[in-house]
Formats: sequence, C-alpha cells, structure tokens
Amino acid sequence: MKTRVKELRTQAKMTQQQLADMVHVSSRTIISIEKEQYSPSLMLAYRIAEIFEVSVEELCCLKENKELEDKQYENL
Amino acid sequence: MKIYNKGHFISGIVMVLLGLLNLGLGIVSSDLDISLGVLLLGLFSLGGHFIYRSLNKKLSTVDKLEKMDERNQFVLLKNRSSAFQIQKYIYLGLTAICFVVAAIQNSKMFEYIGTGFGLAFAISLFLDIATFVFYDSKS
Repeated sequence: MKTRVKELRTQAKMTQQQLADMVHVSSRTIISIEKEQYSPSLMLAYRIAEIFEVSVEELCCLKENKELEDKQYENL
Repeated sequence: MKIYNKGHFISGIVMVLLGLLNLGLGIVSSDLDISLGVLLLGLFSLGGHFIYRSLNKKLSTVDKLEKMDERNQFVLLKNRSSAFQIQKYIYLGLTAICFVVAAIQNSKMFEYIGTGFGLAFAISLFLDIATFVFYDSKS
C-alpha cells in the first residue's frame, strides 16, 4: 500500500530508526512500509499520522489506494 | 540481579544445562570429539547470549519490542503457516513414494514407513481443519 511516510519523514529530517522508536516498532517495519511491502495496522498508521500532524487518510493515501483496489475488483 | 526477560533467561539456562549434561555424558563415556565440541560451543555461547540479554535492561527492551512488532508477528504467522502447509504435502508425497516402493519391492518396511508418513499427514490435515474452525469461530 502506498503511503506518504517516506516523504513526511524526510521533510521532518528524521531517520527511520527515530521514527520507529517513536511509534514503538522496529526500523525494519518502517523500511517495509516505505517500500510498500507492508501495510501498517490502523493503530500504527494513527500513531505515525499523529507524529506528522496529518490525518490517517492523507498518510495512507487512502483515496488513491481505494481507486487502485477498485480497479482490481473490476478486473475480477 | 534482575531478570528483565524471563523467556530468554529460561531458554539460556536450559541451553547451558543441556551443554553441561552433554559435557558430563561425554566425559563419563570418554567420548569427547570435535562434533561434541561444536555442539557444546553452540549451546554454551547461545545460552550465555540469551542469559546476558535477559539480564540487560536495554537489550531486553529491544527483544520485547521486536517480539511485539506487528510486522515481525505477521512474517512469523506467514512463515509458520507456509511451513506447515509445505510439510503436510511433503508427508503426502513421502507416503505415496513409500507405498509405491513397497509395492515394487514387496517390502514390509516401506509399508510401515509409508503408514507412518500417512499418519503424520492425517494428523496435519486434522489440525489444519481444527485450527481453521477454531479461529474462524473466534474472529
């Protein structure tokens, strides 16, 4: 799932480890989220969104991801 | 001395005790060779490593966070379920191979081994269904 985590983190001049420590996950989890290999849970997305002072919808690009998913369902 | 991670502490103690037991058995039977040495090195170093980590506050916190990490839990779940599924079908394959060999060579031994693998497959299948029903009802 596409997210704005990397964009917001680099804007805030934060390392992956620093962000991971703030949201109580491993740096590997942050790396996977930024590589779009792993979708964060609702609670984790909320924690990250709080740190960057954005909404969960903005952080997780929910509208865009929903449109991508809808296309998959159309092709079924 | 405070134990910050009981699980790791117990694992460490068990490994060290296993190492001591093997060392004792090796001395008693005068059977000290390289393979035993490698085993003892592994057990003592790993056991010592777990004990050290369990007594260190910072390292224990790191270990607990790693265990609680949602991605790690997800990967472990996928890993264990995939391994179980693959293992189940390996049992099925081995059962078939054993019975074929038993038929060709008219061997009782392969029949018994095939029966053993077949039983293992049946148990795996039963567990697969039972755990599915359990988790399906809970979620």
